[in-house]
Amino acid sequence: MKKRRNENIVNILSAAVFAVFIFGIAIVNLFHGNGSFSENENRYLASFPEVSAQNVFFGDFDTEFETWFSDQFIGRDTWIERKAAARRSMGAIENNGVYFASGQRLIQQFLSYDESQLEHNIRYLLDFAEENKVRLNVLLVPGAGTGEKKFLPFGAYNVDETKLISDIYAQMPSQNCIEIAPALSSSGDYYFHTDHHWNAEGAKTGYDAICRSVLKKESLAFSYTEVSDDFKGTMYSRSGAFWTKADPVIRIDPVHPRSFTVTFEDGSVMHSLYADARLKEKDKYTYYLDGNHPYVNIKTDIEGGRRAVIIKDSFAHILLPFLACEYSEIDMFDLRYYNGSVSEYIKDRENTDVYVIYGAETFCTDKNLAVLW
Amino acid sequence: MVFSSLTFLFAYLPVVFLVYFIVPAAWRNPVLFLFSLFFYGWGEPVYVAVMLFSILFNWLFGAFVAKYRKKNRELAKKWMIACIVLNLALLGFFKYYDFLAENLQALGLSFIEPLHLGLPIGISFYTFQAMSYPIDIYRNETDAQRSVINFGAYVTMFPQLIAGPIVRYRDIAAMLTKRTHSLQKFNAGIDRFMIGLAKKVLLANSCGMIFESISALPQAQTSTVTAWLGILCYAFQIYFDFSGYSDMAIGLGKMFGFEFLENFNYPYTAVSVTDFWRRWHMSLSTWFRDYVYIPLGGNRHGLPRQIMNIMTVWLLTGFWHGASWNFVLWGVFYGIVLIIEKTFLLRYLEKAPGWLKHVYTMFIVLLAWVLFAFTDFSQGLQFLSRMFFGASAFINGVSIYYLRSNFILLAVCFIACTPVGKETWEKLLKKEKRFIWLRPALILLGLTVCTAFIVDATYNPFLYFRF
Repeated sequence: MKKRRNENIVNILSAAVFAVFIFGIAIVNLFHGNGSFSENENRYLASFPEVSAQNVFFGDFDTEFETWFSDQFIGRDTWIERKAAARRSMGAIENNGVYFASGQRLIQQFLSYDESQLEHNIRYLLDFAEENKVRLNVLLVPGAGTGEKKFLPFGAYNVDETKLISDIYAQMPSQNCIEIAPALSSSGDYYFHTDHHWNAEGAKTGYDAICRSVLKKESLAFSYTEVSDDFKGTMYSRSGAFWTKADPVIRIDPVHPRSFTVTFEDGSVMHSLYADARLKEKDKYTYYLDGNHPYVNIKTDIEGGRRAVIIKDSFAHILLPFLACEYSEIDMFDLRYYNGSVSEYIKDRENTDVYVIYGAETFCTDKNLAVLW
Repeated sequence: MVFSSLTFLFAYLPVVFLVYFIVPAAWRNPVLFLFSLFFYGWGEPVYVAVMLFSILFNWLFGAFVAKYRKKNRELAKKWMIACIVLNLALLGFFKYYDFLAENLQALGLSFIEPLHLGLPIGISFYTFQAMSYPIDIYRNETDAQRSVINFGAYVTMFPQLIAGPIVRYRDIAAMLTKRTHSLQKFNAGIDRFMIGLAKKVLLANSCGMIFESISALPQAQTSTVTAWLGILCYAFQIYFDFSGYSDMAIGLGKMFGFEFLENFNYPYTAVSVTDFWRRWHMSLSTWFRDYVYIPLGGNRHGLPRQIMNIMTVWLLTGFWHGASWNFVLWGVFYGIVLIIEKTFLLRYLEKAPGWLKHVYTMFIVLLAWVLFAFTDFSQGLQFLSRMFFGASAFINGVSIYYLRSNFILLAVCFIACTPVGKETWEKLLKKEKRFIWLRPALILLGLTVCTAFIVDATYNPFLYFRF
């Protein structure tokens, strides 16, 4: 008798849990206000689709409705964090292609790349060098997966970028290839913990290597100031590991003050290498040189110094505070967004250093180097 | 709309429950019918017309078969055949027209153009369901349904509309007019639904991602171990996806008072391929057995005829799974293996040790899944070669990564393929009744984790890199 009663209570309780869960969320969803922007996804969230006979019967009302429903789902980010936590507790060492590494580091997974794309990219560079009769200074930066290999969980696999970079360098023997991978693998904290870029310390290592290999001089002295302690980068967003501690953002200034004039592709001017307003946004890496721009011109107060032309991806941004102090003028191109001619900026060959600065993974996968051709 | 979507779980299902259980009992079938039509028309509202047409002619022709089956067998048979032809014509048009057109074009005969129409959801399932109706009436195995609404509710019933089980009319006829709802049955439904949801969302989708990532690896990263792991993950994906869907269908059915027949019986524990097909997608195998194999004569006309009958059934089974040659090949492969087993192999197999039976069965099943997984032959061949000799290593860092990161998932999948979990739970309850109190907690946990995985699947932070 008691057994039956217990069973009944459990049944009522279970049905109640089920019903309260689906009805509760349905009702809360109905009444909570819609958000408009997802910082983690860096995109606008869908709003309620248009209700018209045309859209319902012949349009995409169904998918638009489902997108709206999931975009505006109550506690969206919390669910995503729960999923990351569930995967982690089920023994997974990564989520959405980001490894959970030790010391609260989130490290991008780099499983494979397209070899033929890489071959093409090398070809484009070599042709560009030959055509313009310049010797390129090539700096490929390994990702944290290689630089911080020691922090990865057991069983993690990434393309060995040290080997990848030296293989690429071996194919361009007539260029000046700058070796950086071993330095970035040594002890030290060279990468953001929540972002795929190298940090100020990493970039300093890059700058030192450039001084040795290109400029043939001692490095200048710099001072470092923390301007934010709340940088949650791309790996933070992608992993869903929202429990991870944020990174600091460091401002890098030469000890002997310099002045800079930064002009962007649209003619807008910034009298600093830093975009202070970006510190209020989520992706604080854009603090350095205002993030991705097709074309940036930097003039310094060094008179009669050398010029530089830089073909780069975003890994170069945090390096520029160092490098800018060595040149009178720098022209910088991001081929993912720029599709004009780079050659016409290399007029005064004797007095110009040409750099190619990329994260190694982007260099393997980017389809835009063809622009050089 | 699929069951494992937020829209289904947190918008459609609550509304259906609310209306279904509020209205008087007599209105429940009309409510079920209307909501099922809505479910069916959600993706492609225009196809509701196709569905209504299908319901109407099957119901009408069924009535004629019933009317003449006693007095005039010949006439009744004609009505039945007409009904089958009409059903097959609809299925053929929507599912196979483009396939036919493209193949004719490849032969240089381009008198018909592909139409690129969307496939009405569940058409392969509900057409087979509907066909069972006139046939069973003709065979005096059931009576015609008087109410077109009840018949419509049967054909469109949303729990099994998309992915089965294929419910035969005679198995459900009584429940359409008289069925019981009880707290106990509703709870059994919840349990079953949750098991299905977890299988689909937590196991199938995760395994699917592994398979996808493995099959996209460039040659230099491949290894034999990774390839086998890949196809194993595909096998897990397709089983948990399909059987999870059947579980959800059976569970929802129970909540609405229906009892559907089982569709899977731990197929990966099979001891032969023949046994596997007694356990996999049982509603389809039974359908082909009762409506194709036995009418063709089954095994009653000697071995050569039986072999032909088996091949016919498997050709059709393959083709039913999709309008593409790889599915045909997959069906033919199974046909041949089954004939080999029937003619001599089973006799030897019976004497073999247990582990060998399992290894043999899974070996064949995994090979067959390669045929099934790739509609593109060259890709399928490439994958097969990596499983045997064409990989660049036997085992490498990539294999170790996949094994390490998915170790627990894979272990759970292995266990979930066997009745061990179910038996342990039942034993536990028998020994210590208090464990029953875990049920509501497990349901809450299951719902929370599944919702988290479903929301996460819509999460798209990757755009970041392009800005």
